[in-house]
Amino acid sequence: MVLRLHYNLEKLSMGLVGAIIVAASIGGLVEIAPLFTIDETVEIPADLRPLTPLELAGREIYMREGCYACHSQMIRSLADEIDRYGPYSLASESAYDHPMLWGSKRTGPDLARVGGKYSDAWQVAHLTDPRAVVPASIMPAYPWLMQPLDTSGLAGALAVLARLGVPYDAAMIQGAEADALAQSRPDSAEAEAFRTRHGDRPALRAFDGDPARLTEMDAVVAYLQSLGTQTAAAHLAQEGTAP
Amino acid sequence: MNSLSHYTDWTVGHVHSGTLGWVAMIIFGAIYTLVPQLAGREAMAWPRAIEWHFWLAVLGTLVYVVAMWNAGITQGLMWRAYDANGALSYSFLQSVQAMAPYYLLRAIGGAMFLTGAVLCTLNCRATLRQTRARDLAHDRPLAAQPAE
Repeated sequence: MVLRLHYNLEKLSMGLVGAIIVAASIGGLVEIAPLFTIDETVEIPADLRPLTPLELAGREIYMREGCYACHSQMIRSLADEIDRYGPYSLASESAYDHPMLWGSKRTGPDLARVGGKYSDAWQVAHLTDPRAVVPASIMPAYPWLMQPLDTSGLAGALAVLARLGVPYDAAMIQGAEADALAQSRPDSAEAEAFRTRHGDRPALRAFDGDPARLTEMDAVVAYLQSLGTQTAAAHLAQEGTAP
Repeated sequence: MNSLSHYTDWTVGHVHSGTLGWVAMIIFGAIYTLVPQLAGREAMAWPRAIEWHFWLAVLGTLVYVVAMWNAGITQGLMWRAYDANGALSYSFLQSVQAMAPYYLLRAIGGAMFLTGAVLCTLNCRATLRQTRARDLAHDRPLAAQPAE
């Protein structure tokens, strides 16, 4: 009887197709439906600042070099992770990340709050030759980051992110290339214009140690120093942790 | 389980047990079934090489996966270990250094698996080179076609 039912069921190929669509739709709904209420469930902190053009260029290099394959940027709400890396990551901290770079493997440590943890000089030395500062490191060296930074795509990159909801205004988009240069030249005339457009919070210094040149190293170090500093929301939400 | 294994090499081992132990094995089986047929032969040119490939693949996968499982659990336990004073017992770097023997085993396991795949490639080449010249019988459909 049961076998006979099964036998007949197996012949209903269109029924199987229908059932697969229903089953897959349930899975899809469970994942997609919450996104329609994301504005209510994830509150973007008032002090969350978008990356500057130079930091964004560094983020592009971070992706190009595959840094995310070995470094996560997502601290879990476990005691040991909070003790090691700082307050656990909030969804809202990634609100302006397209795509997010949470990562899924820690061959190296988490970088979600690495900004300000080491000096620029340490970061430059470490990226150029990790063994020079951490003898037991197994990280590859990235000496070619000392090549000049190509800023030509930055205005377009900011424009795309603005369409995705990142608060870049027209002046920021138009001044993207100039701002990338200015952020690494604190004494230049353009530095003032950078401050006008991006405010006082982003770091403004020669990240690679030489204000006369704009290198990929400037961009990567600027990006690394910005990690975890775009908002104090996680520190405020988890009291007792100094930002 | 996830709090221990996430971000560690346990995941890498888990994925490779499926990729090497299941997907690749199915592909190798398909190759050893289809290549002789393509060549119009009864069997592969080097039947013994298939045995070698099988055992290299099985042992390579096992060495690789067991090394990664151990690596992952070691990482997970080291990252969460506290000493009697309530401080973290290990720096991240110490957990990296602890990986050395596992990464060596992983390389050995991977090399064994790759050796098997190279053997398979050479076997396929040898088999296909022995294809009989224009064996028309094999190009024909099994059943007679209306046009014939």
